[in-house]
Amino acid sequence: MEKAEYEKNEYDLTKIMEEEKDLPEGTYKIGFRSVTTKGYRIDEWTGAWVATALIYQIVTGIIIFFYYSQVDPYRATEYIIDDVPFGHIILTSHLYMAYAMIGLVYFHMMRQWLVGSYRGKWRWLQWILGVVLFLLTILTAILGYMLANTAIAMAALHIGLLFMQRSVLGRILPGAFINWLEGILVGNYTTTATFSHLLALHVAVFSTLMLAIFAVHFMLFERSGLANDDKTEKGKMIPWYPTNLLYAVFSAIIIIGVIIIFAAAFPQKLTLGYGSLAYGTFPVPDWYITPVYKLMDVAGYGLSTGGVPLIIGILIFILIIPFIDRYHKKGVLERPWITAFGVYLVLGLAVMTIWGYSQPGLTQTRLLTEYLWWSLTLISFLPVYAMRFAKKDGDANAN
Amino acid sequence: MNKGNNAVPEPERRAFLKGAGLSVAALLVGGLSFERYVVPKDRGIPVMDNYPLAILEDPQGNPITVADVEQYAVSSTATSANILVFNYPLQDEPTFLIAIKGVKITTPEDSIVPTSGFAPVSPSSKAPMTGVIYDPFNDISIIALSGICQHLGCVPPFLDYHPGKSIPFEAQLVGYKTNGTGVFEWPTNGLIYCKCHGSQYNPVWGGSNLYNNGAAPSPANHSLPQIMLATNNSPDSSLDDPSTFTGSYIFAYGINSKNAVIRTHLQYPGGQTYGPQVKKENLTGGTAIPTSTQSIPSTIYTYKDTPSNIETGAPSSFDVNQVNGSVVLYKTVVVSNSGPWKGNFHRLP
Repeated sequence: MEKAEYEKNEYDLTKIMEEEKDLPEGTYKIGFRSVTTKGYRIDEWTGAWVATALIYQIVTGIIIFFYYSQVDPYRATEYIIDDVPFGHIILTSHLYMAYAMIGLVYFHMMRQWLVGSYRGKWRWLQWILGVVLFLLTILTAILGYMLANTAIAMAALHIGLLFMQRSVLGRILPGAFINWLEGILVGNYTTTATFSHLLALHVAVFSTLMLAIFAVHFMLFERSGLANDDKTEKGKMIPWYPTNLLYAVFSAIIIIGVIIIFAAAFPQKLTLGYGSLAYGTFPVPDWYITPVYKLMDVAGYGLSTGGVPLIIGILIFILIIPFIDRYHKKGVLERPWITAFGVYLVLGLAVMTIWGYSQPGLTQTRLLTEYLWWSLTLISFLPVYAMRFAKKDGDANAN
Repeated sequence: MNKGNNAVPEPERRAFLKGAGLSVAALLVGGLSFERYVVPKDRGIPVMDNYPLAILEDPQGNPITVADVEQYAVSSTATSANILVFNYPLQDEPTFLIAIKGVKITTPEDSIVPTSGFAPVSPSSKAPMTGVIYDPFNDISIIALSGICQHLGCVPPFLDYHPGKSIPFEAQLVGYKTNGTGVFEWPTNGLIYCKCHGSQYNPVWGGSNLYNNGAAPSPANHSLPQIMLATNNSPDSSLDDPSTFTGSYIFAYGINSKNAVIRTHLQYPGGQTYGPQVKKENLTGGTAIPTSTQSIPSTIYTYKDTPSNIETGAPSSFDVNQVNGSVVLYKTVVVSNSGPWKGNFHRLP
């Protein structure tokens, strides 16, 4: 009898989920890590929610892509809403999931900020990739918002182009660079060229980049594990399959369900199309743009001269926070000024969002702005240091 | 470091780093030359050599007359105004067509910009501004001003003309009051107000930016460019009678570089250009407006503030776009927010 050249087929599919033990030397392993019960606390799942939103956006985005046309984008959007089966709910849920995704990205980011999980072996890199993903999320959202060719979307495009030209980007960097960037963004600026470019950037370039960087971000997470989990507890680890998988799937289903309910209850209304005239109307930009906008406005020295460097400065600060944070202990009150600054960012974002959304076009006085920032500083720093003092005092008394 | 059999020996790692460095350097150099392939060849190339001579038409394709526009004339007591917009000099470059009753719009001078208070100075003794159609029989000025805000490029309906008795809500928030009530009163003939960031332009001053003369600073750096208009009959009653004048067609023939820095186009880097470069700068990166089947008028008339008020001549004597030595007549459609001209300047009917 001849020796069989093939391995036997395995028809028991459940064995796919079994751990692979004897891998040949030099194998690179990407694992799905098991965690203890601590890993099933709800604040450990903020990343999973963002990932859910990303996957949902890709799926609904592909469906919308079938019906979109860059030749007459506004009519194409009307067509998707009015004539495509389930078009209105798919488009609306695509919009609402984008809102949710941005909100969840902020939540995810601020959670890691306060917990301080951006330090450790690979965690600094995971944080930096996370900030890049945050930027890509916002940019992809803005591109998607422009694709409908509404009046407000084109105002955003014009303003974006002018920011590129008149801010530090256009004034300090060589002219060819901005020409190149604009060539990528709008081509030769005819309607079809503009929307072909915006579409390609939205559906292919930025989303693929996001997916690829997300894969690395996620892989780094699986390498490092949970920031506050005890990895050495023998016998207490819960296997990844099926617990973790089911937990992820169920939380994804809940989020998608909530978004679909909202999409059905509050279907999106398409705002005024670009080029149409209406007396006294004033569409407002989407909520995730208004805080950035308001911030640039209240920075003083003009939107492009003062605002663009301010936004770039804040982003760089967030990017390098793993290297700025020099505290030795973990914990919220053990890293007081980082925590206080995190609270400051959260409050500032909330205030800027509400203010920007209610009064988007009004320039503020310098005095009002100063009052605002100093009171925000006080509100965020004072309680943190007070609580830290109280905690130390309490610990000292307990001992 | 070097534990186990899989560790990379030191010299190999150095070689790897060298290779990686070289690759990155090559990519950078290659990326620089890549720029020309990404940027379309027609970027920055003017689509026509000079400003077009364009006849103003309604959405049905009929030339509009001075009398047609005068129906939309607003007086100082108007509580709202119809927005009239046409594309000029290229497609998708909205321009306001504004008719104001009881005002003769003249070239603004530095001296008429008030240092205090807010009432426009009446320049009744002066000749109308270049490129403004002034109907002396009905006392109506028709002015065309770029509808692209000089601050960050917002277009109608964000940028919008609000006549005397209609202060936009946003302008009230920054402190404008109805006229006759305070220092920062809404001017008698209103303002063009941008709801994006509160830029303010006065149409009676030929679209001049208010800078710091308004209730709140106007963030725009320049005044609104003025598109010059002409008619095919004379407003001089010794040459043509009033009804002939009001029945004449309206032509746009260029941009007045005297009162405003021109930067209607948004897409080319370093977009703010002064002087003779303005034309080329202004006509790049868009689509030309369509040509008209109407016959080219033999003579066109326009106001010229100096020296003899009315300038007249064959279209070829004006500085307009010519192809192979002859003037081409283009057309542009006037659309409105209501009425028979209701339409969309971006997507024409």
